Amino acid sequence: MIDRDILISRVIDGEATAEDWSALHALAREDADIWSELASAQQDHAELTSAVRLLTACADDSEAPILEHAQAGFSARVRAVASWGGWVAAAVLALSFGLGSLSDAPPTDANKAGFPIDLSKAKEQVLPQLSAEEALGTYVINGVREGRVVAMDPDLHVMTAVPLEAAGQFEVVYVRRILEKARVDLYRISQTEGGQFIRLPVEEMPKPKRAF
Amino acid sequence: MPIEPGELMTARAAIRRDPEAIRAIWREHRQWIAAILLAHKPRGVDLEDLLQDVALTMVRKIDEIRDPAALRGWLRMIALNTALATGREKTRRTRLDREFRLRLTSEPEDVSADATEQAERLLDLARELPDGYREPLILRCVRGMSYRQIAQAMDLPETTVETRISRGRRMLREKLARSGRILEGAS
Repeated sequence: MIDRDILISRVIDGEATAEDWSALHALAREDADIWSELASAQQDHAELTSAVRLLTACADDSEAPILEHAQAGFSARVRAVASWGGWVAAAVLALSFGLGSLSDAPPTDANKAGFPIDLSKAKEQVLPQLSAEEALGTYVINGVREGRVVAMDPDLHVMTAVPLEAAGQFEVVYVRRILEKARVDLYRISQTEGGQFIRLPVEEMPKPKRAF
Repeated sequence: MPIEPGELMTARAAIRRDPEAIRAIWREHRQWIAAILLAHKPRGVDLEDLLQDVALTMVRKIDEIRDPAALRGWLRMIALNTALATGREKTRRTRLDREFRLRLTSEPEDVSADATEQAERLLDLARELPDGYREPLILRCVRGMSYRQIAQAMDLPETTVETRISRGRRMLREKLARSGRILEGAS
């Protein structure tokens, strides 16, 4: 005699043989409630399956963090990190957002990237009582309020992971993405024959490549 | 328990640290590894973080596997250890994550959150089942996971897996009956 629970389970899993079905019908002749029990079990399985698939859907985007560049030396690492934002990196090199003043000097790192502050003076400008994390949180909240920050990607994108001596520990380099928007005049930086930097209006935004 | 020849070849290549084979192994197994984490992790711990931890450990240690046929069991142990170690920590989420987590998706937040909450409530009930019953029951919900594959991962006979799944289903049914059908009316 096959166990009642196993019979029901086999039907749910599509594993029931002809013998199993005969046994199920024989049971049902004595106790018709088994059909209702089967229906409930089928419903539970369907709901649990939906729940598991919903909650594990993130696995579809998960990739093994193969670090092919780990042994390739520093220059390769720099290339790997630089490649994360293809079009962004290109834009930083070739474009100015029109913030900061135009001078004979090449654009600074700060105004090239459109940063609201000059990072070289950051030490004087940050609020000393906040941790870096709190300051970032404040930036995001205020940025959302002011319309500058659109969203912050909750995922940190690991670029390199170097195993440390302590078992299971890694030193990781990661990218944190904050999506922002701004209205800007877009210029292309060019250099005259005399060596003077000038900016020329950009008519059309270069087609962005996928950043990640 | 025998393993498919193709899977065995990929496992051998991965143990030799072939990057493509390691990637293939991860893609092949990541769904059920996520299900194991789901079965054992405390509620509120981010599954993606744990999954990333398992992936990192796999990449780092895959060349330590002695028997390629034992790959599934080895991956399960990593997932299990990761989930249990996390259970001993208070939380893995940073304050920043909790307070400032914003979404890039344009999907309506309330609909998604509602479905996720209902799924979590059902999983909470499943997590109350004894260890030996909970895991095979949840693994059976992963697309393509047969009794045989679950048996390979858990290093159990297929008949034991079948019995545990059927008993687990009965236990869950009884819990649902006691708590009322929590997904009643859900789309």
